[in-house]
Amino acid sequence: MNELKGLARAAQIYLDPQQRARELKAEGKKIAGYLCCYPPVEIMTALGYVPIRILGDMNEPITEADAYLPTVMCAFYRSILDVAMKGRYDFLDAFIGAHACDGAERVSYIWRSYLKSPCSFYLDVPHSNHAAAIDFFKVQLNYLKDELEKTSGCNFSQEALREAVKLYNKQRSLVRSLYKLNRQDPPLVSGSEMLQVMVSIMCIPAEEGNSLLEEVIEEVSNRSAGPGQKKGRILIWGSLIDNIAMTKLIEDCGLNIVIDDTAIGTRSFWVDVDETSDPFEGLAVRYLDKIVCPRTFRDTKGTRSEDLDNRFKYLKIMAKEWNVNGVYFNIIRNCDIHGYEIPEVRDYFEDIGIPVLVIEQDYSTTALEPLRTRFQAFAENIG
Amino acid sequence: MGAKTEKAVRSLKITQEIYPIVKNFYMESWEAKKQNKLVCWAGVGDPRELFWAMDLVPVYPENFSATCGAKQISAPACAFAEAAGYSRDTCSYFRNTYGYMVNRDNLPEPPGGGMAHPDLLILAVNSCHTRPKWWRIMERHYNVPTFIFEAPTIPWDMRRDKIDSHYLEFVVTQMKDMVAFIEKHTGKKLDIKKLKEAVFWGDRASALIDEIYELRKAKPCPLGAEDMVTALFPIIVLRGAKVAADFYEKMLLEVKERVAKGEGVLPNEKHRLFIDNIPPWYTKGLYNYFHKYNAISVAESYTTNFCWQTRMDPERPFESLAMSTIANWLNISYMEKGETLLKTARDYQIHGAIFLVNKSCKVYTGSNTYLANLLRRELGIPTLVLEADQTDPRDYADAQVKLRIDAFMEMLA
Repeated sequence: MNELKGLARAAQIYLDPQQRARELKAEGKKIAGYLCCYPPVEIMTALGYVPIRILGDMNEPITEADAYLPTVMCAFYRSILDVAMKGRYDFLDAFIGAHACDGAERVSYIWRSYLKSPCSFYLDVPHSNHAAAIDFFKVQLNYLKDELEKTSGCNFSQEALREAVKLYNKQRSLVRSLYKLNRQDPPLVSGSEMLQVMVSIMCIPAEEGNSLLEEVIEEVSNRSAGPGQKKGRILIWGSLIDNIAMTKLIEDCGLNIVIDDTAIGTRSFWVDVDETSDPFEGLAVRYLDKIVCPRTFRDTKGTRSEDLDNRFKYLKIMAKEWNVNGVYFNIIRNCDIHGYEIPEVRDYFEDIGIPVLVIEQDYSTTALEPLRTRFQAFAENIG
Repeated sequence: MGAKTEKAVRSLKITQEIYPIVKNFYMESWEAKKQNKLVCWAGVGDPRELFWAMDLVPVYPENFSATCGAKQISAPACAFAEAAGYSRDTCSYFRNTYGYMVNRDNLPEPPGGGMAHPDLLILAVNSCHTRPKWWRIMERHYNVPTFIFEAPTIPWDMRRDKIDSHYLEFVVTQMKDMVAFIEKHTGKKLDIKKLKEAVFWGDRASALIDEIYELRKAKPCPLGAEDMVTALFPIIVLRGAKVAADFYEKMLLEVKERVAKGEGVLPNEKHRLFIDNIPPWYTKGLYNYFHKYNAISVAESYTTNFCWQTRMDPERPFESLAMSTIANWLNISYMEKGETLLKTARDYQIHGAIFLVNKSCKVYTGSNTYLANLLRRELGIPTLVLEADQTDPRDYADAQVKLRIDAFMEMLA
C-alpha cells in the first residue's frame, strides 16, 4: 500500500505515470490507452477498462518513430509513437486513437499497423459541432462501445455508463475546485504541481484520482508556503504540456502559472457531461461541442470581435477570474490546430490589454534552455 | 526566392492547351462577377456539380495557389502571411491565398487576374484540419456568407466502394442544407434536371480519365507525371461542365494513338516510377529530370486524388456526390491506401517510388513512411524521400534533391 498522499503522491505517480496501470494489469484489470481528450473515458470505465491517457516523453530522444512517421508531423505525436515503438505501452489491452487532429489521426493508423494491441479502435471525431456532426459522433461512440465490449469480457449497461458519467463529473468538479485555489495571490498551487496532479489523475482509476484530488485540495488549502508571489501571473494557452521541465523553466523565470487552457489541464476537465436519458447524447455533446479545443470548427458569428468573443470568451473570463497579467501561447512545432489561431487569439488578448508571448517549441527537454531568456524578458515586461 | 526551380516540359499536345484554359477560367470569374453572378470560393473536392447546376461561379483557393506556384510567383505572398503571424510551417496554399487576399496590389499579377472576390464561401472538410480554419480567416476578411460541411474519414475496416449508409447519410443531409443555403443567396431553387445533367458530365469526365489512366500501364508509358498533374485542372475545377469531358475526350484520343503506335514519352524507357504527394508546383520540371535516367513516373497518388474512380449515377445525384466527396485519397485509411498502392505497383509494374516531404500538407505527408515501408516490405520496391513543399519554393534545394535522385537512380540501374 502506498504511504504517500496528496502532492507527494502525485509527484511519485508523475515520475512513472504508467506504473499504477501496470500494477492493475498484473491484478487482472484491463487497461485502455487513449489519445487526446476526445475518446470518452466514461465508456471505457463502464466496460471495466481502466482508461489512461497516452503521453509523450520530452526527455526521450526520438530515435524510432522517424522511420514510421515523417518529421513534419507534430513532435508530441512523434514522441508518443516513439515511446510506444520502444515498448512503453505494450501492456495496453486496448488502444483508442482519435481524429482529434491530423497528427493524432495519423498516429492512430500507424499504431494499429505496427503495435498490436488486442483491441485497436479509431474514433472519428467530426470537425464541426453542427447538429448532423453530433448525431454522427453519437454513432461513432456506439461503435467504440461495441468494439470495447468485444474484448472487455463484460456486458455493456446503460446503468454502468451513467455511474461513470457521475464519477467523472465529480472528478471534473474537483479539478475545477483545485484550480480555483489559484485565483488568490499568491496562488496556492504551482504550475508544476498542478501538472503533476493532472498527469496523475489521467493515468490512474477515476476513484483513486478523485481521492488524490481531495487530498491535494485539503493539503494546499492549509499550506503556509506555496509557490510564492512572482513577477507575473500567467495563463497558458495552446498545445499541451506534459513535462514539468517546461513549467519549471517558466516558473524559474519569475512567472506564476495560475491557469491554463491546454489538453493536460483545464481543457480536459472544465465542463461536465450532462446526465441525459440516453447517456450517449450527453457524451456526444460534451466531447464534440463543449470541449473548447480549436480543432472543432464553430460557425462564425457576426463581426470579427463578436466571433472572437463567441469562440474565446471563456479565455477572457479565465484571465479575469484568475487575474492574469500575461498569456503564454505554447505552440508545439507543427501544431496547426493552434498555429492557425495565433494571430486572432493574440489580438483578442492584446485588445483587452493583456500581453502575449508566443513560442514555437520542439517538445524536447534538450531544446528548452534557449527559451529561458524569452520567459525572463516576458516576466520583466509584465512584472 | 533564389531557389533554382524549373517548369515542366510536357510531352502531349493536349496539355499545351491547359494554360489558356486556366487563364480563361479565372478571367471568366471576373466577367461573371460583372454580370452579377455569385462567385463562390470552394474547396477542391467539393461537389462542384451542385455549383454548376445552381448557377454559381466557383473558384478554388487551393487551385489558385497551385496556379501561382506553377507560375513561380507564390514566394512573396507566402512571406506576407508569415509577417502577419502565420508560421512558415502552415500550409503554403493557405499562405499564398492569404497574401493575395490581403496584399494583392503589392504582389505579382496572378494568372487571369486571380480569383474574383467571393460572394459566398463553401467548403466540404475532409480529413484536413487546416481548411476550415483557412475558410474562417477568409470569411472574416470578406465578411460573406459561408457554409462549411464535412466528409468523414473512412475507417480501417471500411472501403471507399462500401461506405456505410450512416456515413453517406451524414454527407447527404449536410449537402441538402448546402443547397438550401445556396438557394437562399441566389434566390433560385435547385433545378434537379440541371443537377443530373452536371452529374452526367462529371461522371463522363471521370470515366474518361479512368480510361486514360489505364493506358499508362502500357510499355512504354504514353503519359508521365509532367503531363498528368497539369491535365488534372479540368477535373479539379470544371468537373460537371461539358468542357471538362471534351478535354478528356481529346486527351484520350491522343494517348490512345500513342499506345497504338507503341510510342512512349521516352524512346528507351527503363524505369517506371510511382510519385507520392502534391506536386511541387514551382518546379514541375523535376518530373522531367528522371528522364535523364530513362525513368518516368507512370502513376502518382496525387493524380488519383480527385475521385474520378468513383462512378456517379445521374439518377442518384446526392448519393453519388456524397460518395465522391468522401472517397478521396486523404480520407481513406492507411490500410486502404496501402492496398491501393500495392495494386498500383503491381498493375503499373513500378520499379521505384518517390515520396515527398511536403510540410504544407501534413495529412498527405503523414503516410509517407508507412507507404514506403509497405512497398519495400511487400514488393521489395526501393523508395526515395525528397523534400519539396507544394507551393513555397524558398526551402527547396534543387541541387540536393537532384543529388539524391542521382544516387537513387544509380542504385536502380
